[in-house]
Amino acid sequence: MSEAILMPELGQTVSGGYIAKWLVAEGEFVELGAPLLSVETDKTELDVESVAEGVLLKQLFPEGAEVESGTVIAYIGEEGEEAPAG
Amino acid sequence: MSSIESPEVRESFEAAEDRARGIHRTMLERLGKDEALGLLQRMVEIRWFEQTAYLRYLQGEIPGTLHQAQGQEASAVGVCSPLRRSDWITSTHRPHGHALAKGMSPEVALAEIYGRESGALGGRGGSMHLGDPDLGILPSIAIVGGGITIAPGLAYALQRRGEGDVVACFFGDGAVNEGAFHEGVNYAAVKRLPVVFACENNLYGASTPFHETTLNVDIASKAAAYGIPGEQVDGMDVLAVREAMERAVERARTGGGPTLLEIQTYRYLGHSRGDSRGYRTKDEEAFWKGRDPIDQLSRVLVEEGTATEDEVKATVDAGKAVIKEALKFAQNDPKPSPESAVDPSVVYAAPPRSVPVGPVLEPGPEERMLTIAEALREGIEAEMQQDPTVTLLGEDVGVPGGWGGAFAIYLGLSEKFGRDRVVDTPISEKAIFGVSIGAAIGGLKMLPDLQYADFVFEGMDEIVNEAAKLRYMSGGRVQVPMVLRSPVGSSQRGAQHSQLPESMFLNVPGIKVLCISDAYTAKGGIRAALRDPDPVLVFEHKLLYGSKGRKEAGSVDTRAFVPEDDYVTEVGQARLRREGTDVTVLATFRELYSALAVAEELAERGVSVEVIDPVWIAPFDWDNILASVRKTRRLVIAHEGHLTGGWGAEVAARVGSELFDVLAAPVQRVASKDVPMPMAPWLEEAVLPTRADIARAIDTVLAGTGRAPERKDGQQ
Repeated sequence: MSEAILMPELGQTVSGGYIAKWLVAEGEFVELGAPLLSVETDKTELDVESVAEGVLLKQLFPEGAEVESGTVIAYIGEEGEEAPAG
Repeated sequence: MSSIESPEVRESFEAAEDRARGIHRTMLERLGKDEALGLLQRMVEIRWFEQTAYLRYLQGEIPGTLHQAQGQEASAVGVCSPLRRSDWITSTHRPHGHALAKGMSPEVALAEIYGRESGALGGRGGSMHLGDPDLGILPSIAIVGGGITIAPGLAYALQRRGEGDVVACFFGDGAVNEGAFHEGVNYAAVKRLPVVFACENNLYGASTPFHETTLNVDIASKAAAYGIPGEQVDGMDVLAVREAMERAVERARTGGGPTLLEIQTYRYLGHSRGDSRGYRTKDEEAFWKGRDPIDQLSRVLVEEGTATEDEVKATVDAGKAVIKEALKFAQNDPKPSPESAVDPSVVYAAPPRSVPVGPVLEPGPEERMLTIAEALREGIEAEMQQDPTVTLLGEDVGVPGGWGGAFAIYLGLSEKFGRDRVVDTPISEKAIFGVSIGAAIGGLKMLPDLQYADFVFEGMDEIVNEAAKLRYMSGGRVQVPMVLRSPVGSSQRGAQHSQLPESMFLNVPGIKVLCISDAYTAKGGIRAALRDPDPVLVFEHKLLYGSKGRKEAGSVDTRAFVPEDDYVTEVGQARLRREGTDVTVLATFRELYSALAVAEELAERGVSVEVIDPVWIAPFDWDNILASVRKTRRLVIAHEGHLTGGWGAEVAARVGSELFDVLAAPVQRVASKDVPMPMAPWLEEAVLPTRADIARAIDTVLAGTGRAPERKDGQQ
């Protein structure tokens, strides 16, 4: 079963941020807690750690996209698994 | 200042490394491969548990707050791994690692953090209150230093059981600056109790560096103040922690008393959510991560030939797999029912229940007309005789040739039951309450004593945060049978020896409150309290004791017929002191006797006054008191405690709300004025409620107007 990864809350005063860079490519394996992407807000830039361990099946937003906290941004699952449609 | 390159510093580093290597070899030889790999797996489980919880928390899956201990795994595992299941630990607001290391299943722990039904406390506790009495894990206490006074109590109960069990008490560097540290460690030391004080020094209290909070940052050296051994341990090295802990445990098990271990460690993450660690340097964090406890043990196991690299890797993978399963469990576990939040049996081991009103006191032969002091002594003595777990704890209670308590209630008890059961304590109210709570949870029936009720504020944390909450925080799995006796009331002693704090505890669910105003209730009530499984605060008025040879100005004769037999009164039962039909007067302590006198006078005028002593302020006897007011349609409440926020206010509010249609007049309250109590009797009089105030209040409700009627005889 693949797992939806959400854009985390990035602070008390901001509601989302820009995806500055994906640090894991689609199809690559990512460990629990390893940096998955870096995110920029008007306050700071920080790495978001992976909440799941497995293969990054799909990135749902390109670099440079602005994404609200709580939005699904990626799916992580087993090798060869399909990310859910949509 | 010497640099790290200087020969002296290099030598001392090398010596430390040699010492560590020596400990590693000895420990690995003794533990063997399986146990050593077991320590590694437990640390991995804790690390992955913390990581998983943290990341899921950021994903919004976990409610509440979270305090994490990534980096501190060697402390949790090093301290808990030499313990037996029957040993106990107390923990803090950062308890995940401690609970897992003492044997809590990661599923149960994670489900609790998720607020789910199968969680250790059914979702009532969350991240800060993990516990399981069957595993010797006290629900962790999220008040800094809170566990330090309770651990000696648990240890005392274990010592009395005589099976060599011990308590490990976790706390952080910040707690060392709490008063609880001084009182708890000193108490454990002077009583030589089997406690290991495990101070996890991670250098920061939230964001404040420890060195900014004390001039002596050598925590282990503080042990000298209490005459016990103290030792600094490398908290990133699980074998070093385990080695020091084994010695401390052995010492505790064999009667050598407590040890203070300063476990030098580091938390990788912030104090809690929203802590971005701006107060620490990246270099400092890198230094500590370079000494990571999991990496260190993995390396040592291979270097020393205890295990192969493959075996180490397999162990790490096994630990991660355990947490992966636990996560699935917690995510899929149902939420608890809303009813479980308000289930009275989780708040009280004996929830309030309906009882018939206590009948009017009966007369008896002169030789059985006892004072409250005599009746209390008789009741306590009988309970101590029948139940060997009843233990009295306080200042000046049992010293030979001493006082037998501030009001001589306990005279003769230490001679009869020994000083093991009539225990004299340091002047340390926090310790007296904390020890009582811990010992009560450990299976004793504790009877702590306060010389004056005013001193209760010294230990409000123990009473309000611990005694009242631990049952709820354990999901109804522990009970705290503790009876705290304390004298209240004005008696020309001024503002700090005159208070009546009973009403404050109405606002604290989990506490029962008994107010003793007559000798019959003294014996039957103290016995009921001692048999009750919940914490009971017992308040007695100094001027009602009737202690022989201590007759004070303003004292009242409260002697009553006290049967010799084993009677016990009901918890939560009000007592009818005089039956009447025109007005109900609810009163305690001296006001009860004033009300009885006024009722007598009014009877001559044809007014029938019903006088009820509520006896138990919590649980309050609503059934019988509302029934009386339904009958008389008029209510006057009289108590010595302050008017504002006194228990009378709660009764007036509830009666006004529930019996609005029945009442013939607004409820009247008579109480002390809202000022601190002065000493001089002529000033005291101006503050205290008087008999005339009660008479006037009765006249007011009889007139039915809410205002006192003018009396024809010109009196006011």
